[in-house]
Amino acid sequence: MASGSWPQTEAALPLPGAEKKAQQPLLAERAGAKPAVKSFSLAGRIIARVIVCQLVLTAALTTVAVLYARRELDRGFDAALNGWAANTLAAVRYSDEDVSNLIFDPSLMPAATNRRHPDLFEIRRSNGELLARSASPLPVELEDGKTFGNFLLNGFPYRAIVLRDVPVLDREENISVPQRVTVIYASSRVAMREQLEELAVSVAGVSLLLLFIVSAVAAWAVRRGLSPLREFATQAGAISVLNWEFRPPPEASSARELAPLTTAIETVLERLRESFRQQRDFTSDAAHELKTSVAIVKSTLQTLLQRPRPEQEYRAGLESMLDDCGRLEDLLARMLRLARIEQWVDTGMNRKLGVTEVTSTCEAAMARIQALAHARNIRIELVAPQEVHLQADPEDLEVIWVNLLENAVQYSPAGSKVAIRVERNGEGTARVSVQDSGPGIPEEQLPHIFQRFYRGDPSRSRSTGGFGLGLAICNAMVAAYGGQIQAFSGNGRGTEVRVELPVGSADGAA
Amino acid sequence: MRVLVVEDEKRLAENVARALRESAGYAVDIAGDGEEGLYLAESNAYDLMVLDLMLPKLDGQSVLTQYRKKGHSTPVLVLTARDEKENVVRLLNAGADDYVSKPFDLGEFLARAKALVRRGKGQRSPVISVADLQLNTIERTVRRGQKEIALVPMEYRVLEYLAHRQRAVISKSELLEHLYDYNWEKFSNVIEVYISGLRRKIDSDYPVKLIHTVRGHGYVLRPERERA
Repeated sequence: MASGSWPQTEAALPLPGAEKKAQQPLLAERAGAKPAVKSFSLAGRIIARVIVCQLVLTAALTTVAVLYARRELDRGFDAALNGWAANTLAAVRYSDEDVSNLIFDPSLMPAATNRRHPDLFEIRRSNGELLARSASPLPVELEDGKTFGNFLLNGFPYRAIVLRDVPVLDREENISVPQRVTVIYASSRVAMREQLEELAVSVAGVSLLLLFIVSAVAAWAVRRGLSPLREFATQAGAISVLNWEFRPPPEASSARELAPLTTAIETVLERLRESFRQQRDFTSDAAHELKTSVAIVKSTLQTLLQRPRPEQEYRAGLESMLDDCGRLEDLLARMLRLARIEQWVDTGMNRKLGVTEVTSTCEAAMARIQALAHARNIRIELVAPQEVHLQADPEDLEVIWVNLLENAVQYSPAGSKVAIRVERNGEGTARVSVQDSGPGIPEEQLPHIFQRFYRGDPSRSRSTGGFGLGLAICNAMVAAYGGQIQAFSGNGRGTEVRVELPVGSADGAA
Repeated sequence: MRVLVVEDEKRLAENVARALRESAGYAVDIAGDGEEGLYLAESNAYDLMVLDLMLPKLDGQSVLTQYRKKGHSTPVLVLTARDEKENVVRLLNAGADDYVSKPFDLGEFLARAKALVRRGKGQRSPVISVADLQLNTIERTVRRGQKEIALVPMEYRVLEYLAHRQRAVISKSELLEHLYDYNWEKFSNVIEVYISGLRRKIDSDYPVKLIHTVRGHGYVLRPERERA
């Protein structure tokens, strides 16, 4: 089943939606304005972050290692200082001549280990008198109570230990009350510092080398790990009008992070492909209709021109061409109307709609169909138990009813009746149904009857001048209003087309 | 020659049929849908089928495929509104001999139709010669030697058919079938009238006779001396 056409009816209806055109450029502009985003490499960013993390880790490790080493070295140094101080103390002995006299024997001192920064020492008697000291004097006094002290000598760091009031023991003489001395011993910490620096440098060096290797490995691993993403992007980039295939690599499609994207792309592609196919079919069907119509006119003209003919033949030819032009006009009008309504479906109506009483639009549609119905001896019956108000343009509603009634009248046997029913349908919708007494539509054709240019039985709709656009127009219009259109048919029981439209804000007016 | 036009757009079918009748002198049958077209094509002997693609009931492609599957070799000229390359390739591969895309030029259509009819009869040149008899199938003129011979349209059509199948014996019913549309049976005795007219105009003034009657079988067009 398909739409019937009735050129006068179609041509008489003004084409709605002319105001729509002005909004197109605006829309295109909005779509075209894309914020400029600086591009970056995901892999590069991840690698950079990995390297930064590793740098922080390396720095922390080096610091900890150096601090630990320094503490240990300090301890060792202090122990050594203690030892050296004790050695110095050991070089003090009682004089052979005067047991009460202490003397310092430098020959007992170990050889200096560091000539550049020689160790310093002082030995004082308990009364504070200097007993002995190193070649260079100690530049500072040590505060009381402290065992260790630091100072700078010629800009080099030194550490000193004080052994206070330690008794001087003698190996040979048995001295009941040993004399006590204070020993101060200082040694350069330059060597230790140098050791520490060496350690820090080597730890940092090894860490940096490791960092470099690990970064290289990480870069490789990240790039490799992201390769499904790259493959994914390549595949997605290959999608075009000519190639609707999207085959993500298996690793990409099994990646949990990419799964929603894969699904989304596949869904969108499927829908795009379908709408593209529909568009191509539409273009192809439209071209066929237009070309055939032009072919008829052209062949009529060429036939007339082939040889001289009597006047009445020319006249008959011209008349038939006028008919054909009318048909072509009708086809164009329908195609344009369909295109405009479908644009509404896509972009929304964007117009102010008043409140319309549905029954009056049905009556107007019936008036338009009356001549056709009369010619086919078909009675159209309007059943409208109550007034139903809708937020709609009355002309749009009329377009739907005219097309439905036209079909119903064309497919009903002469002398039968077509019913149009208007009712409120509870949940804020208006229902209008058109029932004919025709032969019905085979079940397998029902899903297709709202498609553009679909003709269940082309010979019949051709003979009635239809293009298969009437129901497509109804369908698009109903969709533009956010409603539903359905056809019910049991073979032999006629066809009922049911339209349900939301009443919108007209709800309260009813 | 008899042509079948399968086209659901009635006006286009009529225009095509009229052009074929008037400008080529062919008998034309019209079928309005694919099923009727296939039925007519299989039950009659046509010299050319003109086939639209978008047809009710059975589309042109299926008509073509089924027709060729049954071994019919009548040339088929397809009318199509879809002249995309893959579509044309598919058509030709399905057994179409040529196509014109809508809206076509009637002159080109006729030329292609005539060429297909010629080729269908194994004749490449538009001018057919039998001894010193020459038929120009484009201008539809006949001359023998230097002399132009005026024929009435039906005489020309009979001669053209015989010439296309020269040296073959053509029965009266075959002639009828190829020269008239549906209702050829009622013309059964006019063939003799046209044959005798042709004999008078072509053979009577010449020593070499070209049109011969094979008793009980039909007619044949060939130079006399080959008879033995």
